[in-house]
Amino acid sequence: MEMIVSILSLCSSMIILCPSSVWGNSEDSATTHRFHINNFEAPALAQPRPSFNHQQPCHCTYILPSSTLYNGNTTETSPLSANQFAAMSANKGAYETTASDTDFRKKYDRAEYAAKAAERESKEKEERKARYEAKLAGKKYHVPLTGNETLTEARASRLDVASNVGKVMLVPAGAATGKRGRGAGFYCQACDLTFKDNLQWVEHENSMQHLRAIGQTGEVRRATAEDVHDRITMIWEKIIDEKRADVKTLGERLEVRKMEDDKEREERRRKRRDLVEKKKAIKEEEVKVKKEYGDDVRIEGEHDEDDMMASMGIVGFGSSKK
Amino acid sequence: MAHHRADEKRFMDERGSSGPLAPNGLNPATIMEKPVRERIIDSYFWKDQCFAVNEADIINRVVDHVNFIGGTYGDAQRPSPFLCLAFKLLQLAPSDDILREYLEFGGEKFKYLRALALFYIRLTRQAKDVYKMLEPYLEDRRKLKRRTRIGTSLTFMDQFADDLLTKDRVCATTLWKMPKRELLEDLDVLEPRVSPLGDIEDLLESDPEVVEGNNGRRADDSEESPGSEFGEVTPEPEGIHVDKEMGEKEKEHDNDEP
Repeated sequence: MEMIVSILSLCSSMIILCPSSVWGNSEDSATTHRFHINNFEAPALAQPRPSFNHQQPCHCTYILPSSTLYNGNTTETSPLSANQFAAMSANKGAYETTASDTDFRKKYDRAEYAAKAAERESKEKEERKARYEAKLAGKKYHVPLTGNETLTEARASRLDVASNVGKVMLVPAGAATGKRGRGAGFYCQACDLTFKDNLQWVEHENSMQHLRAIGQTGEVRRATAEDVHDRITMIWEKIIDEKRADVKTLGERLEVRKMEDDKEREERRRKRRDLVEKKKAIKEEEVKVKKEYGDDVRIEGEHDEDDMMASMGIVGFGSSKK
Repeated sequence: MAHHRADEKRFMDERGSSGPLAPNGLNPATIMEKPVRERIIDSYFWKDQCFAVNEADIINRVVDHVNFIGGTYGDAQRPSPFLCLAFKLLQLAPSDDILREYLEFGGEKFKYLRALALFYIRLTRQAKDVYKMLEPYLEDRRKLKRRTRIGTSLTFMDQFADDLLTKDRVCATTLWKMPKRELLEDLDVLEPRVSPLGDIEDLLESDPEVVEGNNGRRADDSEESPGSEFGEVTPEPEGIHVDKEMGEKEKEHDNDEP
């Protein structure tokens, strides 16, 4: 025992804790075994001592000679204190860089994370309290709305199953556990759930859980009689349009084509007219501005020519540059 | 209240204990029978197409999906889209203005929309309103397809309206017992109805042989194709065929009246 202690005092120590199942203890589970290993080799560490009983758990402490850790610092005889140890690691390395061994690790802003944790905890506490109060009142607890929810609207399209027929999709074997995760089936992005059939899928889409996840209130706007009227007109016009597009004979097609051409031509004419009118308006505006120069902004003799031209109806040669 | 719930849960949960009643005093959640109700709520059409639908969206659904009237059909007794949408209307409880849009403006364009509105009115409105709102459509002669548990048959809008007024079970739903028209007329709630065929008294007083020999109608329908009275399949213009059906229906209906 004394020998071991003396070794301890001589060596700068590095302590390795191992799982107890590998390294056994002969008598007492609370005993700490210390070994002195001269040649630090990982495989040697992995060899269990045959005399050890492997059943009892223990903590094995291995003390490595300083020579294996720090390049040839064998002259040092006194044990290193924690401060010295830290100072050593802060020393400049062989390449004269100030970077320490662990600089590659991410630096965490501890204050920021502490604030975050505090916020989360306070929120959780609040929710717990609200849940408890709801329970006392005999009600079900619901997460309060944020106010950004939109109203629910009727589905515009049906679930398209036919488009996936014959498609092969690779799904990782362990991707989904139960419904959770992305597996084979209909996948809901917002809730991270996968459903195996359309009935389950549509039930999920109708569920409050899903509606909340996609930010909807689960309420539908009530339509007025005008809305109803407009909708009927809209549907009717759509049907008429479809019917018009669905013609068979050449004569009918020519007729439809002619109507479309006429419409297009009319549109083009209207655009041209608009453009001309806009240009005209701009020109008139320019003339008006030039005539209305105040006396105070005039510099003697500078605008005489412009005024004369403007009064004659000539504004310029189309360039806006002065 | 400016909003509906998207699903039917609250509607079914309240079951009339706190929700509003229909104008005829019935609870809209129990107007349809429980087995039918449960079949509707379990059906895929209901979950897929009737979720989050409001009064305007329902027109889209009717136009896209309703191509026959009927209650439950097939061996599995699947509820028809017509019935599902009628149930949705019971939940939405549209106002009279909206129903008028359905019946008149929309009904001219989409016949099944009118049929749906007629059915809904019969289920929820008071007797005098039902008579007032349904009787004008005894002159709508458009065809409707009716699907039953066994098969499909042809019917007409006027026939459907007449069924609603006279029968006690239509489209897997037991209609509530309305007071007879004569009773309401006696109570001065309704004006006596004038049939498009003319005054019923005059018809009865006129030469009975004319009526019995089917010549009263024959005079009008002079273009009727020969042999149609024997049930032969003769190609004939649709309007005339409908006319004939209409005439029979009118006659039946008028005979009920005093």
